[in-house]
Amino acid sequence: MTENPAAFVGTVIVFLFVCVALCSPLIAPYSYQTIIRNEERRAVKEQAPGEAYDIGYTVVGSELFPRNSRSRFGFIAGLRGSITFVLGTDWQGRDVYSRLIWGARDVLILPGLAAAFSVAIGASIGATIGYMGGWLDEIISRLLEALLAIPALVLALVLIAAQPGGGSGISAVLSLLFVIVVIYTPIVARVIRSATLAVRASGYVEEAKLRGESKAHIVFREIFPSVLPALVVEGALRFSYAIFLNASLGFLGLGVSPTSPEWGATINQARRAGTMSLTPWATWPPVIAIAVLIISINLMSDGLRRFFRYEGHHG
Amino acid sequence: MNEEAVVLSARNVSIDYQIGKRWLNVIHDVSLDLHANRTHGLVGESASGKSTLALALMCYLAENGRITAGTIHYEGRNLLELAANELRQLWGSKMSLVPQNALSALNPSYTIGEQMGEVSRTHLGISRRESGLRAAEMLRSVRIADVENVLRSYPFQLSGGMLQRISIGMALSVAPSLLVLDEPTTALDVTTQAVILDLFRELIDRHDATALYVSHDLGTVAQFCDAVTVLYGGEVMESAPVKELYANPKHPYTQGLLASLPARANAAQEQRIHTIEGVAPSLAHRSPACVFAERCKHAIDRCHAEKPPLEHIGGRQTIRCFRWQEIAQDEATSAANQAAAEPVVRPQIDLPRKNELLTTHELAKKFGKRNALLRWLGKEVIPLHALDRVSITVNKGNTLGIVGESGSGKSTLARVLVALETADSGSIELLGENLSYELSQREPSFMASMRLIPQNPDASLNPYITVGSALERTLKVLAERSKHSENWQQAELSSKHGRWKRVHQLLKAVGLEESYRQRYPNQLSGGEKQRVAIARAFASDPALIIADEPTSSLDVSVQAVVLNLLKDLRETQEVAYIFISHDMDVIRYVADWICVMYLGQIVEEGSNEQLYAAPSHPYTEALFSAIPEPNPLLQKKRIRLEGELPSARNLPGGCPFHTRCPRKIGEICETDIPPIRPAGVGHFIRCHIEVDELSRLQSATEEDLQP
Repeated sequence: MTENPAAFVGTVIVFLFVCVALCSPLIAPYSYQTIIRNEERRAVKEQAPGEAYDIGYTVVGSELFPRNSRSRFGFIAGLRGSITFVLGTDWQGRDVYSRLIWGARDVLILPGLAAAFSVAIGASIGATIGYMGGWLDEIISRLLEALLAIPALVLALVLIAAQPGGGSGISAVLSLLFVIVVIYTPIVARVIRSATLAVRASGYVEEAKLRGESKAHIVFREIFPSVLPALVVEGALRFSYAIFLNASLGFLGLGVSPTSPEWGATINQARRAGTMSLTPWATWPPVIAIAVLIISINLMSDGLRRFFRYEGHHG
Repeated sequence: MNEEAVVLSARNVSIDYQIGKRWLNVIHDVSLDLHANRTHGLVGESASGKSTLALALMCYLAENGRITAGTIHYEGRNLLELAANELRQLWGSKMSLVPQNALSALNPSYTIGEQMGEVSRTHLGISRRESGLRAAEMLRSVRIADVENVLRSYPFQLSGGMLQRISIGMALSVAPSLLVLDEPTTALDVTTQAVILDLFRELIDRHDATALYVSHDLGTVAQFCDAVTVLYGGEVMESAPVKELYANPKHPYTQGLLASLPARANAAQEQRIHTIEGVAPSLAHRSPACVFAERCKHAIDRCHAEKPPLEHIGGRQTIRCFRWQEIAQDEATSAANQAAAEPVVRPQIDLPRKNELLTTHELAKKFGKRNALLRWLGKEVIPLHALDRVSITVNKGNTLGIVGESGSGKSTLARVLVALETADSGSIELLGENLSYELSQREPSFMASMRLIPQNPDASLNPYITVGSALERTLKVLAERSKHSENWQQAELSSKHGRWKRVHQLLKAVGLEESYRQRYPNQLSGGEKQRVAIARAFASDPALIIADEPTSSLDVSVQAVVLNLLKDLRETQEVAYIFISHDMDVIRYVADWICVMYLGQIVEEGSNEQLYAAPSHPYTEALFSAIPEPNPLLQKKRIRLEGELPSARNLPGGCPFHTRCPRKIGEICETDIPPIRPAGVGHFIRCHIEVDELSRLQSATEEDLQP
């Protein structure tokens, strides 16, 4: 790791994000949907008098209230960052910092699962068709290519539209998972297929055939270890792409739930409320977080790639 | 030009390479002189630093390399003090390089004509038209017949031999005074190599060029060079005029290296090749003692303590050894003692069709048959005839050598025998039982009785499985099923403990220590990997081992060890071999019975002795002639095959060899399939020429050679 400091930093950041996602109930001061009420604000004011907690805007519907005005709805909105609310509150009066932390779960868990499924399914398909060859390979390869020919986002929109509408909760999560897995499985399958092809004709696979090993032994014991580096690197790459796609879908309002604290969805909510320029402090954190996360994962997968290629396997 | 003039003189050159964050000293304190109009050979085994040194002498180093000490004087100037643009000027116009792999050295996106033209335009400053003419002229001088066509071709459209001609043409087009040839024929077949080397020799003489010839092949160096420098571990061991070096090697390493050549063992009619014990030094750290001391049988305490200086001993000879004078005396006395020893007689071998172990009858294999999709599209595919009715016999405990160039079908034969490829027709019988073409339908016990040692040990060992596990697994799945062997204790192998005990025995049998069982293949040297592959082949106590060029990726000194090992195992394990090689010297050393293959056919078959005595098939004759004799005083008769190996997709009619045959008699060769003529007991030649006539023709060539 000292050979490649960028990959080291990337890996550390990815692990930090994962820790945050795991511990979000412990770290986040509020729930992601808690609206900071006026009473609370008063309480805060008593604890820390003189703090500039009430500069900002209150936006309700299309109406914009000047700062310092009291909201008719009894909550404060658009609070700039302060000691109490580190990143301020958004246009609905929700704590941006808490939403960011809760959002890490939605950002990581679903794409993580999707990447894992894509890699598992894609690797099985790729290794099978790569080793077997022949008709099976021809047909499945052409099918995978047909799927790859459609732009990912278009395919996602079609798949979401084709599903029974109005899904919520667990069914919405499953449908999104399905969409991402369908999009990324062909890519993984093709990568693993070509990695398998490279070792299929190798001397040690021939040697295994010559001593009469079963196909399963050859695929899992002889070929699989050689394909593993490709698999790990591909897994990391798919993870970052899945995060990206998930955030894109969230931004387009096609995510798990339009009100979720998922970062793409958060940006979309601000966009739809028209407050991106009024409360920019509520928009920038998810944007930066997602950029940092994806760059870090890419640095990590780059490091993994180098690690496998140059160090090899020493047991 | 004065014959004695020194063109390039290197003094005390040391070179470091950066690997990771460390600087490794790869060349240490090298001094050598290149004399005008002479060809200087630079020999060494892999990792001896010969290519690095050759390029460094042109002051051409990779980015992670640097010359840390010494001077290189070229025509009076110290190259190390020249600026980058001055060097560039020199490289193009005064010094030229002929690389090992011309295909990767030429740009695939420009035609040969464009690339050759650019060289002469840049360095000779001539016009586009003139440079085109010059390119055509250079191609004609390297004896390319179809010049116009070749100039318009892209590099990947041409054969290896053709590309190597082009690269020397390009190198010579600027009339360089120094030519560096970096293993220029290593990637070529022996018959092509012979033609190319003859051409190089002639061109170098005609251009009065000084050449540095880098090679691992002691045979080509003997025939090609005037002086030789032997490198080992990045240091000069010995440097001498070629005749002196081969006739009277002084350094123990040179002596060991020459003795490890199968040709030398054959000439001396010895049963074993001399070997150098131990392994080549790692470049990781530079030993403060003699680099060869660890493997030197003459080493004394002093050799392990301090580094001998590179000593000039007169007559353009240098040597780096404390004891060379004493060693010369020792050798003289031991040679006198040995002269009294009885010459070893080859044991009487069985004649064929007796005591048969494996026989094939008219085995045939074509590649590129139409697949379903192409058939559906109505596309014709011309099949490639890899094996054309091949019948061979291997007797118990004997070695059948199969020799031929690449493309002769010898590897396909091996793969068809073990069923990695499916034969089209013919029969394979092992121990009297007919074997299926399909691997999946073969009896496991037959798979255990016939094992393969592949050509490339790097590829045949799984990088993620330890040596021990690989052997243990082989024992588990194969040895248990073997029914061939009588001395096999099945009970012993049914337990894991018993198998591991056997793994240790196997490792010991191939000369590896027990601790090797925990190693991964990347922790082994090339020779050690091949030993593991041999141990794996022997694990099931087979009756027949098919060795497909088992030593062609190894250095000569390692090859000697592996050949001896295979020979020893044949005695102790009572196994028969099919030994496939392109190297006539190796085949002569190992084989009892030899088949010569050309384009999928056996053109000649006979015992070792029969084949090496006239008469023989014209192709066999050419193969013999193509192997350079590792002795500058001896020259083989010169039979050269012009032209390329015909494509096996489009086999020539009649005798397949007629397109290149130097003894073609007429139309009959093109139209009629040649008869199989008996030339002795079990000796067959497939040729239109009568055996007596062949014999007369060949002895006539022999006489021409006499001065």
